[in-house]
Amino acid sequence: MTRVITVASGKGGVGKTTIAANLGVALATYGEETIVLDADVAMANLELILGMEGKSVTLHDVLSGAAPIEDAIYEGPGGVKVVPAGISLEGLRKIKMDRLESALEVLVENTDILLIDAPAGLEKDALAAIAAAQEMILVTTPEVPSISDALKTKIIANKLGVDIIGVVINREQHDKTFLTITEIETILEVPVIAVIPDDPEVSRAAAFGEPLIIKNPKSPTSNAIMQLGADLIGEEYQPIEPDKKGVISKLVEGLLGRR
Amino acid sequence: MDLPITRPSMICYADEIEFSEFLKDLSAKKHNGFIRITSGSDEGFILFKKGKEIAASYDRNSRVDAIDKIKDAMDDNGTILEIFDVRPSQIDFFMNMNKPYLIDSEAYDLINEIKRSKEVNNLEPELEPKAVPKPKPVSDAIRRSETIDEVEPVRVDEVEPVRVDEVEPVRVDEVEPVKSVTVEEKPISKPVLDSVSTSVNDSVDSKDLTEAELVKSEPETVSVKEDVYQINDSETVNEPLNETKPVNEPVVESVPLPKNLEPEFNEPSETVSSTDIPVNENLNSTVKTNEPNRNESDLVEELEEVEMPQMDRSKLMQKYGIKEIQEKDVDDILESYKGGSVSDDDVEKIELTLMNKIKKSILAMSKVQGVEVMVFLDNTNGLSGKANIIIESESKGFLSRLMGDSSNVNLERKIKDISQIEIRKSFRKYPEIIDKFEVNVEIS
Repeated sequence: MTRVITVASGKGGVGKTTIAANLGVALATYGEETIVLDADVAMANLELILGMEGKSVTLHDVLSGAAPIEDAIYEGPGGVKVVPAGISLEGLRKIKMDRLESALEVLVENTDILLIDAPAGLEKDALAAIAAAQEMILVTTPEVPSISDALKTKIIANKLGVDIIGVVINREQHDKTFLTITEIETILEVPVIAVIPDDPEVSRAAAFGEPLIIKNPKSPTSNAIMQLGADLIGEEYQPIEPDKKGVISKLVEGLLGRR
Repeated sequence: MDLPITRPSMICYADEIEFSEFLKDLSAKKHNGFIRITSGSDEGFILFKKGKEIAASYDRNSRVDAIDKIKDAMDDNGTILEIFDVRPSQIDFFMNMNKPYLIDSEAYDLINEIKRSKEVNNLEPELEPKAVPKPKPVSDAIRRSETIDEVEPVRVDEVEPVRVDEVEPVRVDEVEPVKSVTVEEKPISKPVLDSVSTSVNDSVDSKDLTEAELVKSEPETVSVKEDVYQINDSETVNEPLNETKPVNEPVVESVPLPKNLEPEFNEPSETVSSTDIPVNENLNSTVKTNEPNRNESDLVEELEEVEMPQMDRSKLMQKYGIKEIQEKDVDDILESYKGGSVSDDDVEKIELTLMNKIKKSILAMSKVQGVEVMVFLDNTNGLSGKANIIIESESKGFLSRLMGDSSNVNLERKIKDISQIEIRKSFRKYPEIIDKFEVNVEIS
């Protein structure tokens, strides 16, 4: 049976899209037939993160009734399938979120996992993305406003009968100025299932339009997301250790042409 | 704006403060730092230098627009406001970093207008001045209670003398050896200072405080205790005066603990020296208990409990200024999602109302002698419906019957139009429902 999982947060800018994109790629690398759908129709970023902008048919077209959902599915990095939202404002004007439900019905027919990147906030589009799923991953940063919004989202999701798999703490900085994992778990009453460290590599990968777990699989962030993917489907994951060779040995190897 | 987000020195919701008073307060205190305003997914900042607003941003707006948006955001009860303190030496650096947001005279006009708004309101005689709850600093958040104002006068009078008398000898005895151990006047770590400075004296510059000052100065130590009792009034009021406070009660959190004992930080602080612990043990013991003789094993047990605290969710939420979501708010949000949800009971009412409306409209037609209308709504996958209308028209003449049924066709079309007008009137805001409505007419 297809698992429909929404990645939501409440507050914007906490890293939902980055996590949804990379998690989708991670699940695809484990052999799961995975579709990532960008339900953030107003502020679509998924296609930019995955380097898939400029597609002819997008979710905008589907939600405006101009195209079937099948035409908006594209093959992305690592074998993940992607439904981009479309970034044109013109397309946004014509959409009807009510059509999302029937589009999802088609998507779940041919996939193992459908990941929905939900918009921020609790407007109609965000609620539609949450209500469409059976399960939800709550993304938050360890800051008070982010956690406050995550709490609202969690309560709404519970009310809509969505199971919360857990909380992903993004941009964790080992800094005592932020809330601890235990505090976040206590406030949200949901277990923390992954802690993604603050990593400048994430922005760099996004600038290249490449998912981090492909661009830099050894980074702590990649390892954390791969581990999260493994946990979701009950797989084992062995973290990829960063290269510990010294600069000089790398240089020597490079000069000798071993790299 | 590019600003360093660290632990805020104060968090509150917009409805807990009067924004104009809040700005005036920051001006009066010559605040160096910035405030962050979070409303939904929008975020705004105002940078202050010596209490003066120097830069502002809100979402994608800057300067006067940002101030205007922030003003609007402060009308929303769900808006969170945080104060961040910054060293005066850093302010110029942040100004340089955020040049596009530096505010101009237009923005100052607006700020002054905001500040004046409260005064204008106060001038109106019919309006009673609104009690502005004091914003709660993070370290003080847990002490806050809705009943403080009611309980305080009774409590302070009753409790204060007893507690001070009982506790004072213990504190002095325990403090003495510490003075000799701490040797130098070592600045206390910031969290400690925050809580001490707010409880002892707001006007005291926290950076100037030292352990030695706290320990040596008797009047100050007494006032610490007084404040602790005042702060925890709501909890202590129903408790026996000599009862020992449990470790995880708010009292503990209101007392300056060493970093490695603070519940929110589980990792031991690298900077804690051996002298830190006795100092804070003393502080703890003076406040947490009135028992004069406490042996070492009790203290060790207490310390162990502090190191592994059972987090109380409500206290934690209060501490960070996070509000519990009310059932009504959730329903309101979901209501908007459904675009006005329709329950099964509602469906029956809508059917009946629509039935009567259509019937009434059709009966007004001259050729109709009788009408039966049945409306069936389906609420399973969005609201859709069907209206079956049976018409009894006036008997036709022999000639009309011979000429055929064209008049019936016209009548049917008219009835359909009338029915659809009624449906449209009823669901004016929901065109998707109108599209899903089917009207069948049968004429006899």
